[in-house]
Order: sequence, then structure tokens, then C-alpha cells
Amino acid sequence: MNQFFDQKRFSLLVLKHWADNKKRYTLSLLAYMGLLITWFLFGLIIEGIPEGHGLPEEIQLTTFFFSLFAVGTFYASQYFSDLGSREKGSHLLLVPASSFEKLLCSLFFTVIVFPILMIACFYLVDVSMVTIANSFSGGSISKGKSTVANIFEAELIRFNTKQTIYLLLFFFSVQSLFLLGSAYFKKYNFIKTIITGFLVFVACFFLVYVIAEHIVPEEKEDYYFLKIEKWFPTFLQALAYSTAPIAWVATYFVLKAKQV
Amino acid sequence: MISIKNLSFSYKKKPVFSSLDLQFEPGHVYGLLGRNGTGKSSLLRNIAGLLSPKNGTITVNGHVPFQKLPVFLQDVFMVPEEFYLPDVPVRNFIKYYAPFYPRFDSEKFRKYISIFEIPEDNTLQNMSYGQKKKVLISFALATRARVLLMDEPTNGLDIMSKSQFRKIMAEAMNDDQCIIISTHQVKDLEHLIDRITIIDEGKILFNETMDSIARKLSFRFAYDQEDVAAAYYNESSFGGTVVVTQNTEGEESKVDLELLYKAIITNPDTSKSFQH
Repeated sequence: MNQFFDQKRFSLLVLKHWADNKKRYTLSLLAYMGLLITWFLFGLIIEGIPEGHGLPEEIQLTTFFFSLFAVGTFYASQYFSDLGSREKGSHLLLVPASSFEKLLCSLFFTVIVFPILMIACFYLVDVSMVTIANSFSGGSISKGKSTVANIFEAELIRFNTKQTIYLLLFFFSVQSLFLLGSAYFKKYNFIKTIITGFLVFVACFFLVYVIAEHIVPEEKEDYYFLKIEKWFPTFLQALAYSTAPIAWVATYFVLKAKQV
Repeated sequence: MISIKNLSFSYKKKPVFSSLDLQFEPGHVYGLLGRNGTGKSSLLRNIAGLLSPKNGTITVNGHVPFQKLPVFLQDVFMVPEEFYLPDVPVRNFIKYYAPFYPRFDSEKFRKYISIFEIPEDNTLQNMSYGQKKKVLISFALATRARVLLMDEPTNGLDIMSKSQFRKIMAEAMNDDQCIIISTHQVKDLEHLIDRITIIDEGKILFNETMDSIARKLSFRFAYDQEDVAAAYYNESSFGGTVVVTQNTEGEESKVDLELLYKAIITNPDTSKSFQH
């Protein structure tokens, strides 16, 4: 039997994870839907119905992507947090599956199952809320009927046409860093990942600032034309696509070297 | 089966044990004794692959534990002193965990939990610590893993459960299995263990079979002052003074593990008497 990856072992691991966590996951999804309903109703009662806006698509999209980032990063930060505890960590590490299968199982739940369930729950609430909003259209809503937003054609950022792809790419990159943080840090994984991310961001900011200081000419003109090297946009794109895989590989090595 | 050579381990800068050489063979139940903080649990965790040695090597069934290969993990089961079990009914625990262990015997598991009087419908989270421990011990034995590591297995078990534990252990043991039990409660396991290893200050102080102990030492009451003075260890008790002395009678005496432990720890001559 292959010691790195075995289909049967991986399936057993997925089933075991689901059996261990289905109660927690179901309650979390119900809580998420409850919060969404409260938020949308609050919006409708405070402004949507009295002002006649209904449930604008921007509100729906912003709500979806905000909750995707907030819940998704928190969920990822909890996935391997058991490794911070001696009892739970031993339980996780002693399950007869390889570190690669354990990582793959985490990716299956965080990258595939989680977004699908999030989208399903979001639309379940969103469609109901839009229907409720439109049921008032005969009364106070004056600016036309509300429509259900398509999260796959998001237009939140005006300068880009492939916004959903880039937003999801950005989400999976951030989520992968939280997954790495959950395996790496012993305690307070979520907070420590945020602090580490912030410090890295500040370091990058100063690095860019120092580089800019050197390449911007000193003459006091209002505008400067800087020649950006051809490789730079390719580098940025590569960075966007490679962050998540790099963080996943790092998580694998952290898992392999973990001691509890 | 388990070969430990020149093993050293430390938590950051705090050394736990150094240059340990040990061999554990199948068909035996080893009792690992020692004071708190002498590294008994750390040794078990090194064997299970949960900790990485600082120096030296460990091989278990031909595998390096810290690599945590599935083939290694499915043949080694550890019952830690503090453990975690998921919030699922016992039935589901078996359904989802047993398939990871190719030699798992469901019938035996049912038998063990019925001896322990644990209902299969119960959810693990609603059970007491002792009940959970009984489920874990039953599961560990039912895996029929060739290496079974138990850290204080009788902690948290009531008097009845301790005798049930001994009964189950005696029934479950087989010749291709190596069982290592770390414990302070030596009385609970006196009749199960067939080899004693005592660790003190990071070193192996004593490592002998029960047969050899019974041949070389005598555990008895002494009423003569000279007898008491010549003993490796003596302790006043209600019936007189109990002593651990050299066995000169040639008859095997019943080993009292608690007295043996005290004699080994307090008097280096006790272990020296086994060297010749």
C-alpha cells in the first residue's frame, strides 16, 4: 500500500472527519444563516423598505464576500488548531493516514466543501430575502424590483472585469495562510495569523517604499513616468496564483514535523 | 520489535533522558516505572512517533516512528493518560475509526465493552472520564496492534473496573504483541507485567524479568533486627517490618512491585545484586 497517498485511506479520513464534525458544522451553518437573515432583515427594515431600495445587489454581494472571508479564514484557522493541545493533537497525529492525506482532507473541506456549503446557504437566505423584499414592492419599494445577485459576476471593484476570479483567488490565498497558521501556532491561531500577516504586509510596504525612493527621480515634478519592467505584471500574477499552493506545501511540512 | 539505541530527548533546553538503550520484544508486557518527570511518558511518545528524539535511534517494527507512516501507525496504538475522543456514539466511533486498523476485531471490542459494562448506544461526550478510558482501552486491544503503549491505564478507573481491566488484558494478550505500560499504580498490574524497567534521572536504573526478580530477591516480613539491617530495603508495617533481601533460600518469592521500586530507588545495591 502506498505510504504517501492511498485512495481508500483518504476516503476513510474524509468520512471520519465528517462523522467527528458534522454536528459542529451543521450548527455553524445554521448560525451563519441566522446571522444572514438578521442582517438582511435589519437592512430591509432600517433602509430597504422605508427608502424604497429593496435589497440592492451591491449589499448582497458585499455581504457574501465579507462573510466568505470572515467565516472562511476563521474556519481555516481552526482546522489544525487541535495540534495545539496535547490530547487532541495526539489523536489527530496517531490516525493511521499520511501527512499528505491529512493535508488533502483539510483542503477538501476548506477549499471545496466549505465554499459550496457557504454559497448554498447564502442563496437559500438571499433568495428568500429578495422575495420578502419584493413582496413589499407594491407598497413602499419605489425603485424597481430587487434581483438576486450573481456572485460569479461580481462587480464590486470597478477597474476589473474578472472580479470573482480574482476575489476567489485572493480568498484562497488568504485562507491557505490561515490554514498554515492553524498548524504552525500552538495557541490563538487566528489572532497570531492576523498579526503575522499584518507584520509581513508592513514589511512589504516599507520595502516597496524604499525601492520607490531609489527609482523615483528627485526633480520636483507633479508627475513622473516610470517604466515598469515587463516581468513585473507576470510576477504579480504568479504571486497571486502561487500563494495558496506554497502555503499548502508549507502546511504539509509543518504537519510532518509536528510534535505534541 | 522495538529497538532503542543511544536515545536522548529534551524539551527545548531541559534534558529528559540521555543515552537510553532498550529492547522490547513481542510476547511480553513491560512495566515502565519511575518518579514523576523522569521521562516515562516522553519515552512512550517517542516510540509512538509523537516526539522526535534529539539523538539516537528508535525503530519499531522496522520503521522510524517520527516518519509517521500509515503502515507504522496502523500497527502501534497508544492509550495516553490524557486523551481525546470525538463527540460521537460508540457505534459510530467503531464504524469510522476501526477501518484504519486492518487487524481490528469488532467482536472482541463488543466483548470488552460488555465486560466493562459500557452501552454501545452512549455518546462518548456524555461519558465520564473513566468510561471513556474503558472505551479507548477496549478499542486499543481490539485493534490487535503489535505494539500497544499504555500511559497510566488504570488512572480514573474504579475498583471494579481495575479488576475488569486485568481480566481483559489477560485475555487480550498474544504472542506477537508487545505491551508497554507506564504506571505508578503498580499494585493494579502486578500479575500482568512480566518485565520491569525503572527509569530514574533520565537513565535506566533497572531492567529485569519478573522471574529473575523472584529468584534473586525475597519480599517478606522480618522479625530479627539483624535481618532488617541486612535488607536492601525495610519498611514498618502493621504485622512487623517488611523487607526486601537477597533470596538465599532458593525458593521463588512473590514479587511486591511497590517494595521492589522503593528498594531500587533508595538503595543502589539492590540493582547491583542482579549484575552477578
